[in-house]
Amino acid sequence: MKKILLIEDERMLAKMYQEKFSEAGFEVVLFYDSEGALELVKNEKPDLIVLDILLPRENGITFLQRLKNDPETSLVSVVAFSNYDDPKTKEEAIRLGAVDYLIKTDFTPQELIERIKIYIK
Amino acid sequence: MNTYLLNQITIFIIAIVSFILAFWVLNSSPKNKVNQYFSLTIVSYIAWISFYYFMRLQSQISSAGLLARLGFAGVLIFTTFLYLFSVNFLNEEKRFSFLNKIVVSVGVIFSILAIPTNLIMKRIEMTKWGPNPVLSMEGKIIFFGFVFLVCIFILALLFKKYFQTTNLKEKLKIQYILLGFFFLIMLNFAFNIFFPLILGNFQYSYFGNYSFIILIGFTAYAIIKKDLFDIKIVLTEILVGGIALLLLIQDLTSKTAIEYVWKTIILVAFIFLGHSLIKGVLREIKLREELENAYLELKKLDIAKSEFISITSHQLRTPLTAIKGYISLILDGSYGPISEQVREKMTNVFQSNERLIKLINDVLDFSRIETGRFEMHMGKVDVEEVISSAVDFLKIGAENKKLYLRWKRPEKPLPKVLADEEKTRHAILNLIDNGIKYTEKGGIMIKVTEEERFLLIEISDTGAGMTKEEILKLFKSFSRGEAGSQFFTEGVGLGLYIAKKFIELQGGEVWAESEGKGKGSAFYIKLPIK
Repeated sequence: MKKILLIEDERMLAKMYQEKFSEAGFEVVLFYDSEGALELVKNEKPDLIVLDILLPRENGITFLQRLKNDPETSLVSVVAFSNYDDPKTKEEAIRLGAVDYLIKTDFTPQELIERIKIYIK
Repeated sequence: MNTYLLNQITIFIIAIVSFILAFWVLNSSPKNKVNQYFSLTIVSYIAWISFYYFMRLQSQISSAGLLARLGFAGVLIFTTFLYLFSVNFLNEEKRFSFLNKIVVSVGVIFSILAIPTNLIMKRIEMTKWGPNPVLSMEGKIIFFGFVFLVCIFILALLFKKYFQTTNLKEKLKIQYILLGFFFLIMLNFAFNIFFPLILGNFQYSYFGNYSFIILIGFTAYAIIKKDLFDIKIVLTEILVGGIALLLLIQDLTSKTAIEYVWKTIILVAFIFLGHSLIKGVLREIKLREELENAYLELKKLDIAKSEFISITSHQLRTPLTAIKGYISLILDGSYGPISEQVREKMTNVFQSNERLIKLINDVLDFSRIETGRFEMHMGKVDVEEVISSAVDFLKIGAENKKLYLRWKRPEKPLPKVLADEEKTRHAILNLIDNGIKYTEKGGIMIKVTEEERFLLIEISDTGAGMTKEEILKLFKSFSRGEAGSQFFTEGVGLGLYIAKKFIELQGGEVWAESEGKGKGSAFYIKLPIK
């Protein structure tokens, strides 16, 4: 079973996506912020990270940078997933190696899963 | 006017002005070392020129000699304080702490030695203009050497700072001081070198001493004033003042009454002219400054506005995401079967929510267009594919309204165009969607024709049609408030405006045509083939 790490600070949305991902057959690890997430990636090697950008302490971009700087974690695919639609942030995320930058309100949970399946290989 | 009287008046004025400057500078910041050193510099300056002046008045060699030596000591002390002031003013006192000690030691030692010994001044001679000190060879070297070296050092430091600093205010301050130095050197050259050595005229040699007041004046101004005017203003003022002075002198040396009258008229006229000239220049500078400030404020506001919009739209989107997500999960049966009635109502809620989402997207796009913060990602775009996907996306909506949505593919495949795919898709979606909204019966037809250097996309509907006025108003955004501005429903106003801007940003055109009310409309997108 493919494993997805979801980092999302809005509890309601987090639970919603976790539900749907589980229903679709994925194993989901849920974090509400990036603290400790790097260690988890090292230990459990998820197949995909779905990363919110505006997070309470460290923002998604900084976390992405840390992820990519560490050779143990740099190869994991990351999909940036946020309602923050800022061109500079988008560019930065892609430049740092995110495979995509999706806007949450563009997708129902089902549509999101279809999209994610492309990136989980 | 004889020189004696002139001399009296000059020294009196200079002494008064110097005291005022010393007081002014010290008063503005009493604890600041820069201000303290500056005031000490001035006090030693006054001492120097006073001693020299009184020396010139003496008829006896002995008293003249003493005053001359005190004068020399005064100059050395003045130079020392000038050095200390400069180094502190330019914030370099720590760098040159060793040199500081040397300069102070040399200055103090020699100024003390100058009084009782013949080290500096060998003897004093009586000339027809009064006592004139004669320096020994070593005296010349020590005295002129010290003053000259310190001045060169200060100038070099000033120049270095001037070219190094990027702070405009500092640059201006240094400019002022350098200007003061310039005048000092010119006047000194004229009165202490040119007149005495070349013309053999020692009469005006003390004017060279007095010229330091100019340097002091400029420096004082540079220290105290926080907002310095451009050096050009100062030069203009000096020029006008200089010419006025010359005219005054001309006036006062008139030989006849008539000459006096018309020279006075010229002088007065010139003063008025000069005054309005300077006022005009000052006004322009102020205006330019205000414009610059206004521009900077606007830019800041701009950035703040677009950041605000980005953050706000993010905040607005969060609850909408939850609604979209959960309603879609309910609708696809994740929480069990639902009745047809519930399904219908849930679908309405879902669609209303989608409208809200679209509105926020449009507002975000709109604000980005307005602030010019849009990046174009140009690439080879297959227009047929873009239209096909738009049609697929909107097919269901059209079917729900019982409208047809026909996409007539051209026989020959279309060439790819250089465009921004996302924005082109957005524009096409918008126009087709608009057609669906405003059509009750019939449907929408999409055609593409290839012209010489353009692709022409035609989206025609059998809808309500438009009058000429309505066509004109169509692509205006909601912010272009005209009298009786329409209430745009479902974000129509913004949507068309954005679609038009998106295509125009790629070098294309968007327009609409209609034969009138009830006769349907046609929207056109023209995209250049590159």
